[in-house]
Amino acid sequence: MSARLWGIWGDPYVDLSEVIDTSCFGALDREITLGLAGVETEGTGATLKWMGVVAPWMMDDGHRDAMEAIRAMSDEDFEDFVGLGDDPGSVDRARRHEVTFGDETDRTFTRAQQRLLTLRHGVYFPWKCCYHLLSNERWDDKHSGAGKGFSDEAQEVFPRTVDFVRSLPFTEVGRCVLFGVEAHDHAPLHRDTEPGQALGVAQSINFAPRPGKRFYLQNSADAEPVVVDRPIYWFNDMDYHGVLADPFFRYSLRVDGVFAPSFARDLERRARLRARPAPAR
Amino acid sequence: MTADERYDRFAARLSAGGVVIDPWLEGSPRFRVVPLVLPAERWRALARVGEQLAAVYDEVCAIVADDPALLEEFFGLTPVQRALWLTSQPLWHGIARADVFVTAEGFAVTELNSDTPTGEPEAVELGRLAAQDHPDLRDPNEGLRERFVTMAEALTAALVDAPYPRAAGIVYPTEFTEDLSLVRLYRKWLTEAGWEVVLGSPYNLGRDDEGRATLFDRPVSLLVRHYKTDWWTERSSAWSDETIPDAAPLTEALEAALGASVERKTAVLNPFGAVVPQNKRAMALMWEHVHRFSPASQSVIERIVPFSSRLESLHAEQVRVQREQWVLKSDFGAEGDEVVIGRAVTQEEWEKCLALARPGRWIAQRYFEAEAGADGETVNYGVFVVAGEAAGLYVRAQPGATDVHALSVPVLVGP
Repeated sequence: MSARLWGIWGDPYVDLSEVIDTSCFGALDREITLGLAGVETEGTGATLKWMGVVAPWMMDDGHRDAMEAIRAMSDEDFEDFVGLGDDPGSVDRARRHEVTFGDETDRTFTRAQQRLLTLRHGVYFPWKCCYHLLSNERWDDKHSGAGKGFSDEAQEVFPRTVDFVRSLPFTEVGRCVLFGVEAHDHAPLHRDTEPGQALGVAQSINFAPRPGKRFYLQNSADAEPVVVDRPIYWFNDMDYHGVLADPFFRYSLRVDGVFAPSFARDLERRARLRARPAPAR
Repeated sequence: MTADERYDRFAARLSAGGVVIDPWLEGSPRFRVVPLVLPAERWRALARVGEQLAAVYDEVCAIVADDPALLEEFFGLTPVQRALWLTSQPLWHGIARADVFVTAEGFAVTELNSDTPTGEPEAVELGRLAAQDHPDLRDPNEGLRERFVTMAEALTAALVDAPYPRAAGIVYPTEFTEDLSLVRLYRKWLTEAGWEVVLGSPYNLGRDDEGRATLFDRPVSLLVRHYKTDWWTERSSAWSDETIPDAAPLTEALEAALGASVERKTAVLNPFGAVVPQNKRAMALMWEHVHRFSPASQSVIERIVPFSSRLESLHAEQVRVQREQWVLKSDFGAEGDEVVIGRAVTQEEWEKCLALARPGRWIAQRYFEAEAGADGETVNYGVFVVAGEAAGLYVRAQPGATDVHALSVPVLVGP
């Protein structure tokens, strides 16, 4: 496995703070932290190992995967777990080992199931405070805005944040999610796209109105983590990425969509300019 | 059923193919629903023009191979552009598209896109749907897939020492969403032919311990290049009042691709030698050095290639006052970019263009009047040429010169 980051245009990530005004981030942080105190959030990321997207050297880190726990449950425990779901009757108990639960499945965890998985089975949910301002149906439709819109609640509770996202240089937005990490938690290194198989680098803008979230990129156990210390950026999700632990709550938002072509070309020009070797003296 | 409903239904059928999934451009339809039906004789004539033009370009490359001083003295290529040619020559061709128009005097061509031709997905998918609706007519693109794959495999077998992995990399600007339909099509074709396909940009290129090019660390014996030759090299604007800040070549990517190619580890398609024929000054060479071409090619040049000259070879005053008779084209402009049609601009704009045209980068080409239909549209017949032989047809219609807003038109061949 290559230790180097695939990055974008030869850079580990693209710093967007040069081209997008972030002077509103203080106000957004106040709106978001107040809003999060009142809305219903969800946990996510507990099945990343089962999905096979966690960095190989992180697979044995001791944090239990939800699907691994579900597969290992006794029939009695499984009954308790299913009973807390939205439609217990729809699960064929005789074929329980063929049924999947969690992210990217038809049976996402209810709040009660998350609690049971955590409390009884030791499952680790990296993002315990996740909130969709604009939802996608499936992972692979996150770049299409067709038929989608910000939720009524998001527009009511996070109006300035929604306005900011609408101002970003996308021709369409297919997903907008807030990912919050509780104190002392970390997000495991994982990648969203297998290098060489996707048609392109997923176009997304990530921003953290509050400084301090140590989002990082790392493609081998021996490589130094590249911590992204910019408030707004675009990274290549073919690279393994995660969040380092810190003793306080942190969050960021990820917006997926299609960049305006002129924006992408401007970014490329800037990247190539940075890559130019310094003139000899 | 309204026209909008008819188009929506057509768009759904088209998208269901999984190759062309963007039937609208800026909210307007990109495609015409009703196919153009060409008489078989017209299709044969167009095919012949495409093949003849490709043969002329092959002679251009042979002349340059014999006289490399032309690279700098005539074409004005940069050092890295010359290196691309010198490491690939005489190879330049795999797949190309000749843009052919019908005029009152017969056929005329505007260029042979021999570098990174586009339009294959639209042509193939539109043809497939049209043929379903009209089984009595022939789809001129029905054989394009087989011809492309056969050519790619033959090229690899000829340029790469065996044994080699049946793995291909498609290299293109992955950070942009244009031309993804082309990537989908090439990936589909190669995968169906049993190739492992890796997708990536030049920034993801490297070489393995054996010297083979890698894409995302996976060794590939074939690199399908959909990244224009001039984008790999030193870049400068064709306009003297504009500075491109990102002028440096993609050195590391070039070292990987060219190195693996020279050492017969990885074949590049289209070969980097396309840097010469893709340069519009190749058409100026056809006319300024017409005596160096074979009699057959001289005849083709005189018949279908509008008179072309390096801008600096013409008398400046002549070009200035004959605005309506000329079209200016920059060396590496494509798809209508950096094309100035004299009769489409004012005299003031024309003179400003002439004043700002960076010396050594432009040609002037005689304007020709393409025949327009009753609706004022002209038709651009894009003849795909694979390994020198006509293999498909991509038709676009638009009032005036062809650019990205042209409507792609399904085409079928009648009796």
